[in-house]
Amino acid sequence: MKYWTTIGDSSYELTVEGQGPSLAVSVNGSPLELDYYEVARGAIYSLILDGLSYELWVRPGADGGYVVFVAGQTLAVAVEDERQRRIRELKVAAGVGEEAAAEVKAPMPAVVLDVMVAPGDEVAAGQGLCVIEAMKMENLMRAPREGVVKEVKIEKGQGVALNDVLVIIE
Amino acid sequence: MFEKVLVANRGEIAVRVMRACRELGVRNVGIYSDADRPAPHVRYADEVYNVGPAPASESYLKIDKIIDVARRAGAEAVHPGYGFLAENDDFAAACRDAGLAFVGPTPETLHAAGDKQGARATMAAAGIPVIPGSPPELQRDEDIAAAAAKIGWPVMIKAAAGGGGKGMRVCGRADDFPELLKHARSEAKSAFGDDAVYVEKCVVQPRHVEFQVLADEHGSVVHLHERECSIQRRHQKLIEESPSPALDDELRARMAEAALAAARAANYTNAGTIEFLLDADRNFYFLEVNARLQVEHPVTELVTGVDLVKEQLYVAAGEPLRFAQEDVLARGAAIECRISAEDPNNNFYPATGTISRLRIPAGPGIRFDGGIAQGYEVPIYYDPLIAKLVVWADDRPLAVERMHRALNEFILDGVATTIPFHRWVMASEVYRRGEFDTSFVEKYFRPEATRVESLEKAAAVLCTLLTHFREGAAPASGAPGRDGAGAVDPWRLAARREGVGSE
Repeated sequence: MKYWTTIGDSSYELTVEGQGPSLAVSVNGSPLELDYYEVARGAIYSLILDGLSYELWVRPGADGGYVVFVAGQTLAVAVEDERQRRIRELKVAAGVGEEAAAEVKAPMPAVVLDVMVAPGDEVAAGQGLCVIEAMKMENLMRAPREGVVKEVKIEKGQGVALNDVLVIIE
Repeated sequence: MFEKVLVANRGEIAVRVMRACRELGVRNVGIYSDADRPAPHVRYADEVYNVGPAPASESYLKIDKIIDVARRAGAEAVHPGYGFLAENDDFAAACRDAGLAFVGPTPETLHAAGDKQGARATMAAAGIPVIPGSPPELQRDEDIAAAAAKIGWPVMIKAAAGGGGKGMRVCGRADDFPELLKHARSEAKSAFGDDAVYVEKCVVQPRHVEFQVLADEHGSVVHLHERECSIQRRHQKLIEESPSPALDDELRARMAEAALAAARAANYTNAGTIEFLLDADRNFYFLEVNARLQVEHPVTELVTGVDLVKEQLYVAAGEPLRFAQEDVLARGAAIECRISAEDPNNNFYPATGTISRLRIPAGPGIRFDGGIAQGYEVPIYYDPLIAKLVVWADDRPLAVERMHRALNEFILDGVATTIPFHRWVMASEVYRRGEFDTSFVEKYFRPEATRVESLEKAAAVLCTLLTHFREGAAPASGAPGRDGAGAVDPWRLAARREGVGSE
């Protein structure tokens, strides 16, 4: 079986053949000497890859993916098989899910201290849109690109949750 | 010594103070807000009382409520920790009025230390070098702007009432000044309830070096050497160590003398810190007195062997210092990494979440001060500092290796933390050489630098296998080990490339 596995902007092409003692894995075309050991099912695994030992802690992530904690790093991992990959490519080709507008979202739960733009305003890339405060620190939210403010979803004094849309620019 | 002490704080520092109380046989009394009922410090306390709703202004900053709890619980002293009311002279005075010992300096000393400009004038009069700045009475925007221009750009705008980087802005040119001043004022207002600010000269390539002092109520003052705190972001310290790689014995001795003189000039009692900026030409300037126990006090404890919290309690109980300057010996090197619920891959924004898994590093030379536990949800209401990982070793290179090792052992999953950032610093050649100033993070750190390809590859392999097994190729069925080992351990899968394998 072929899989495409992505972590951030790195992607790996893996093939997994056979099972049990004859399990064979290759990464980006190179075969890998592998020993797999389940320490605690669905939670803790030990891998030996080409002689190097890794302890990985895993839990379910978003959209059927995984969250892996290894050596101080938290990694979001998505795995696609051939069928899933083809469906996604078709969607991209059809333009589904592409956003014409840029949404500026709250990077953390916070309180809105100031709103500097209104719908219809033209903004430059990097221009300040609003100021939000969390854990006593003020953060200026900037426009990710130039455009026109389509919608301002917040007002001064309001509380916002993580990933709430603050301002939409098109 | 006291029989019962109220700890007017939360999180890791509350636990730290309670630990000292336990070891001294002193009963401790904790306080908590509605949001902190699940917090570990509540479970650690001997006695514990609710002081109000989640926002600190309605609970941990409520002087009358806390004094009332202390009275009802029969506490004789109040330890304020750091932050919240630790440097609030009204609180210290309220304790005194209620017949409670405040574990810290007198209200008068706190008042004087909190007035940054006044403190600077006191230090200048005592012959301690200070950074040029605007006088306290200057508060009209245009007057402050004029003072800034006279000092020369770049200047630093600072909250008169504050610390910890809040309300602080660097301004490089006159054009930017009005807007930065506005932000600094509003941040100062929201953090300290006072929008008064001042400006001072920006020292170029500064290192932040501070000295720990301890003074009793009988006129004795000692220092416990320095801490290097130059690894900062937005003026928030991230890593501290002792000794400072920037000092030699001669400079250390001169700065220690200045620190002792500063403590005497401030009529200081109890534990405090004299902060200095050290420039590239080894000039040092008095920055401020931190009239409290510092977050980074453990590095001093590890190199000197002195338990600062216990000494604070002895001093507050009126006892003379239990050692003299010549008894204070520093040995080896200690490093502290502040583990904060902030995402280094996302501009260090505060993160929240539930700690789903926790494995604390262990082994030789490791100290962990934390206020967290598995299953604990990090609340949004308070400081994102959730724990401190501290190591000691014979010298600095060994301490750096030890910290790196400890960070690799650390499992803290469910909320983004600064652990990957710290791993990157410990591996950084610049950091290892000790040649850095307070711009280190801004200059060298890029979020992608924390990525380690081999770890990502291992994660990719594991998740692909889990998907593979989920989709029908069960690892257990029909997968006994090649020589029957699988019968003992059905989960073991040995996969060997054909033609390879030494067995």
